[in-house]
Amino acid sequence: MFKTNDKKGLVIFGVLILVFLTLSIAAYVTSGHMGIEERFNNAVGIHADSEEEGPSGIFGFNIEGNLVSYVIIASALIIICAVLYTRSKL
Amino acid sequence: MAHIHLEDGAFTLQWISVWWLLAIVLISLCLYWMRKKGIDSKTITIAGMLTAASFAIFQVNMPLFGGVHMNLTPLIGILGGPALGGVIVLIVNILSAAIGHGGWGMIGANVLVNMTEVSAAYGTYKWLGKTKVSTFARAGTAVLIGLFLGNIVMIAIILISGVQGVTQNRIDMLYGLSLLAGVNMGVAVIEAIVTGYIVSYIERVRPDMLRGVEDHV
Repeated sequence: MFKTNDKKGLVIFGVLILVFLTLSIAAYVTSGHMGIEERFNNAVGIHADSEEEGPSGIFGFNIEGNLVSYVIIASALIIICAVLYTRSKL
Repeated sequence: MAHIHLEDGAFTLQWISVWWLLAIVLISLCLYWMRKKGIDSKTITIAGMLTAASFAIFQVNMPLFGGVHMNLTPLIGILGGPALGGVIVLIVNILSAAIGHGGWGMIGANVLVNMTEVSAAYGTYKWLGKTKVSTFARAGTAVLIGLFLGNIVMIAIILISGVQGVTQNRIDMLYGLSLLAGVNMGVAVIEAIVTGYIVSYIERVRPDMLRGVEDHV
């Protein structure tokens, strides 16, 4: 089904995934469970107050920064893309 | 995906200026290169879409390993090339700082980190093209290598700059940042699979969008 080079490429990609996944789980277990900013502050030695618990979002997914600004900028970008798409006939 | 998540004031003004200056030089080279090669409306549309997608996904905090995010920089490199990619990551970083995700002073350093990811992913994807491996594996491998190098540049920038107001020495900082980079690479695996599928899909439905990878500006 796969050509030899396809197989070789997938095997190399698979090995890389396994290596990085193992490294990341080991790093996570060693450093512990924490948010992005807390993890960064910890790594460089900044002793900030523990991260405030923000809104839990949807299924744990939430937006970093100001939500209103995010919606405004994302909407503006979508409109610009729509205009560019219709004009360039991509 | 690698992003210096420190507040303004973490680096001294001297280092903030150095990273900003380096980023401005690189962006100027990108603009010069793009102007020399010329840019059509189709490329501008692709750039707009990549900017929107990267900005939108970059702000989403995923509930994995306590909180991580993707930013699609390798996809930007594969579809847009290094020069256009450099301009896109600058815009995404400015917009991110505008909504409070990342400090203004960190934009220069973060642009350098993201440009490494863009260029390394583009270079790897192009290089693997000679081996005729499947597009999925090619794009996925390019993402992993791009993001790995991005993490190394991120660590190097922080170690070179130092962080104001901390007593931790460089060795402890290197250890802490290596763990952070290790966790980041877990997200890189997800980003590699997602990007692999996106690029494979684009190749199937719009191969003309990828044809330009051989002669990108």
